[in-house]
Amino acid sequence: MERLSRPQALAFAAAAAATCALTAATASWAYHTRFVANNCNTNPPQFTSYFTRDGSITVALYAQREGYQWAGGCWNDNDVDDSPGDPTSDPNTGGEGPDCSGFAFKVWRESLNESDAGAYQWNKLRNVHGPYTAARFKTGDGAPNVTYGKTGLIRMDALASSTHIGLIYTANADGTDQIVEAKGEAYGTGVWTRAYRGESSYGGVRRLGWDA
Amino acid sequence: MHDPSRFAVALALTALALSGCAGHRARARPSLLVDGTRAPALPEVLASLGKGAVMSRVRVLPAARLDPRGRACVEGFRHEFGVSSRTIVVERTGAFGASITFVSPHRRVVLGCDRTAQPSPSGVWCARSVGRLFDGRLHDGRVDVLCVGPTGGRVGFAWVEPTRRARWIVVAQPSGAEVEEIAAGLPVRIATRDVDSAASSATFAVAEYDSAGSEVARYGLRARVAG
Repeated sequence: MERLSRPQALAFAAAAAATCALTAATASWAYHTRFVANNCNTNPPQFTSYFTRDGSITVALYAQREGYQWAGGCWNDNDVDDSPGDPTSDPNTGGEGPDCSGFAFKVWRESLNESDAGAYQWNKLRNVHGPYTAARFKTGDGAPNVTYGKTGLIRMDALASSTHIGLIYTANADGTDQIVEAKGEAYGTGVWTRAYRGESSYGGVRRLGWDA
Repeated sequence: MHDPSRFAVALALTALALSGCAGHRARARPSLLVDGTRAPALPEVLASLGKGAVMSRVRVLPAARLDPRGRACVEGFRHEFGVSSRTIVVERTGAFGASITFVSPHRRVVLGCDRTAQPSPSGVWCARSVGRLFDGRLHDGRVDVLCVGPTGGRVGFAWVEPTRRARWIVVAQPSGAEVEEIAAGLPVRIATRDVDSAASSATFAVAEYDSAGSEVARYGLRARVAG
């Protein structure tokens, strides 16, 4: 493709910068809670050289009863959804809680760099979703993640479809599982009995690198 | 779906238009698309976009008539969403990325795959996306930020839903603009190199034009990875 002349390119760059700045602004009419703005941060994660499935269960349970937010990844630990009833599937509502893939990202302590398989501790109030959708998790995208046979899944492995991902809290004797997941605005985040393992639309996914 | 309302934000497009050669006749250009073929000629009514604008090639066809990689994308969704070889698909091939888009039976979800000129380690397609439709519309553009272009930089993809009067979507790019013709009443998958990996987001500067070449909308879309 032909490149713009230097004056054209400069004009474009200036205009593009203005575009980005204006785009980041918020429309006054849009539904918007202040939870993220008032409580969440962008602090860097802490690399951890030792991480366990039990540790990730602890991380997961902090999010229980903290709500659900499409594209979200920030919550406190007061057992209340501080922004209930957000509009469904709107990434700009600024509410509390993760969505399903943001929850898996944070609980699995993954990196924003999909080539990095290391483990990173993200604070509860760190607003981060990560680069993966449920569909990406389902196909094992990202250095730490692989698809895995469903019969061999154990706690803190995941069951993912193209539209949802939940983590195994514990397996039930009847073939179902206790799944810890960010289910939706109407449900929030918690632990429920699910039959994902038996549903053909769900595949197994494992985060690699656990120490225990 | 636009973030969050339609500001007058796409100054980049204005700059692009001003820098163009309004009034000159459009002509076939040697610009290459991601599949190595030449871009179609820019419609004459969009000549004011100038030399930096590249027309994407758009085809609307049943899934059965796609090439093997296209059929593989559809097949990957067949079981989960009930799509068939008769599903109508919009195939887009642009200068920055290529995609296919289609909807499930009863229009419950919009589905698609994306690629760049850079071969993906996991196959031809570097991303597959699913967007839930609410009364036939998306609430979220279902951005993907993990595809990589031939020069190593990120390429982000998202769906936009054009206004009713629009015929073309124009997306500003650092070295010009990509022009997408709206087709089959489906959301339009667009590409950008403006990807913020730290925020898992991508920014698109978009303008919409009607069949007479008049601008009918412009907006910025900053889309974040979700769900």
